[in-house]
Amino acid sequence: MKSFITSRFFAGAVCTVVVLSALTARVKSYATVGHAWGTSQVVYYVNPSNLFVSNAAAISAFQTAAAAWHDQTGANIQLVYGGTTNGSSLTLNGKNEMFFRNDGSSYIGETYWWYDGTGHLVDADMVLHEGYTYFAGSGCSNGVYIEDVAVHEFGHVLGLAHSGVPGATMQPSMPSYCDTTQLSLESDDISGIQSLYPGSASSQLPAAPSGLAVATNPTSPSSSLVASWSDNANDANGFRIERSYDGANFSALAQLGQNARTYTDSSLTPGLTYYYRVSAFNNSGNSGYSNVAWGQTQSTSTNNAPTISIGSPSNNSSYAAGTLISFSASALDTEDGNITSSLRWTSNIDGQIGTGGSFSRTLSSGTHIITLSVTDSGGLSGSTQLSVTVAATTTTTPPPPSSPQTGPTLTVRAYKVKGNQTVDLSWSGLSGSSVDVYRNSAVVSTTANDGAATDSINKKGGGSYTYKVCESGTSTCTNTASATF
Amino acid sequence: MKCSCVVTSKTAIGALALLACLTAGTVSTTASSGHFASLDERIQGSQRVVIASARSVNASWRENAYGDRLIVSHVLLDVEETLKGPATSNAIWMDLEGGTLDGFTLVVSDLPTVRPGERGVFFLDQDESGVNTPHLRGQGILKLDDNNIVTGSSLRVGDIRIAAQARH
Repeated sequence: MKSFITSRFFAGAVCTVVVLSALTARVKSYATVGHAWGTSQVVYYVNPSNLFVSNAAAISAFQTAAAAWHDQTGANIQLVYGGTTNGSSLTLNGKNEMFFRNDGSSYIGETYWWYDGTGHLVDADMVLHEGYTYFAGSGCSNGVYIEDVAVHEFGHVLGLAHSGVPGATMQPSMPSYCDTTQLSLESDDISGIQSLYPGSASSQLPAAPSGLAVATNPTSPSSSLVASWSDNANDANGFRIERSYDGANFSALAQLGQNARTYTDSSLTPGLTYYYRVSAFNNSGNSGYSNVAWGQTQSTSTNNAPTISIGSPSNNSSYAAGTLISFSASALDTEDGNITSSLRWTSNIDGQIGTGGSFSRTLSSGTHIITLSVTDSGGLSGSTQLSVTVAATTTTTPPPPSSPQTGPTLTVRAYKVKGNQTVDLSWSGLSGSSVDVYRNSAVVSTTANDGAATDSINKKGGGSYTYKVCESGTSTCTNTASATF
Repeated sequence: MKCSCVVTSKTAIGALALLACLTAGTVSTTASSGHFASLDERIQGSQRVVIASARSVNASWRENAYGDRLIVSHVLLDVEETLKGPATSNAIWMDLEGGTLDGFTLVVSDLPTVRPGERGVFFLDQDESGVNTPHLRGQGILKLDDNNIVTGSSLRVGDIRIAAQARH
């Protein structure tokens, strides 16, 4: 159990401290209930659901607290994180569960532990009461660090009772809000746990670093963090630092020399939180981990995606084949201003069809999905789409068999020149050097077979004429065409 | 930090000094803050304060509203002296989480175990069904040694008696 001697208490009533000293005189060293686990590894589970910190932060805090009892003592006992649990009751079920409870209790934390007829501990559950505000790692204000109270409660989990030694982690009262001293075990705590679990070869391992803190690097606050820690070992060959993005899953980051007390992590992403932990190592192996600490790189100024406005063509517009289509648009970016010139136009059929704010071109037949995109200097892109349909190319329908026009063809165009009827004739398909031009079945001229002739009729007003053109002196003729005035 | 108040005196002056200290202590503390409560707070906050010895302890399984399934010890206290509250009975019952049953023993971190024959000052709360429980959990039980001194402290039962009389 942990309760508070509050700062108000100290500040307001010196005499009361003396009364309490008489009432709670701490002359007794560590105490146990005389029972220990019959194993060197005790698996615990965390129900991280709570009102104050993220699940990852809560789990990390419990892990930090649990590690202290092995890493700082060399005792032959290890609290092993078994994962999360939904359990939230204090029950003899063979599962060691740590959870929060909002029950209005005036206590911070309590541990309920069980031993059987053989004298071995068989179950231990920890409850942290949410009448207090919990924090994890940093940022505490008028509250309690989970790891700071959990390390005390884990002492109970391992079979320790309350100690009377001032400053001991197993002393029943926390010194103050936001205390962080409990994580560093006192010699009395270490003696207590070693009495229950005598040390093994693991005691040759270096002591774990502590006091890990992470701060932004003033020289590059948006891309660099600096971790610093305290070395608690005099036999470490070096340190290993690990990094995590969630506070739970760590990856090796660097191995450092024995004099290292800081590490600068560079090339980080602006505005992200990074978690770190450090261990020492020597020829015997690795120490336990330090506390987990985290820091956040500064965010760079906010970058907004550019916006695009389309002038033409209109969405869902249609064009005849071969039409020259005008494309126009503009792109604005809050930070970069007018970036229309960076616009890129692509068609799902024709590929890239243009760049910039204005151009004209034809498109292949079909329905095009036109995508306009632009990217600003910060790497953010904006895009928009429209659909344009271009009709299929017109194909000549072959004439029906009943009116074949497979031979020479003639077209005529009637017009007037100063009121006089005039007819232009165009033909093809005739051979020979000359042709005969027939008007109303009478030859009106013989001319070169150059495909064109003009029939000037010295007549004003209306009228209708039929024409055909034939190879001179033969019956090989064009079709008959009519000209009407 | 040196304090001018002394709490071990058996003299009247000492008792008055103790009371002064206790009173001063209440100025800046509240009973609901969850801190280590002063003697004065324990007296004021509890409904009954008795000096008593445990005559018998019987354990049973209990399940509470949170789904906790616990061993609870049912302790019969022979009351020697009532310092606060009704002095209507020479024996009262107190329930205390923890105990031994069916081959298992439950230990609760903030509660002491009470064995038959043990003697102490009990600060008690009473629930609606009349069940007594220690006020402020483990802080509501101050075991006494053969010299009438609170175990692990220099506080004498006489000091508690004086404090109770002053506050009651």
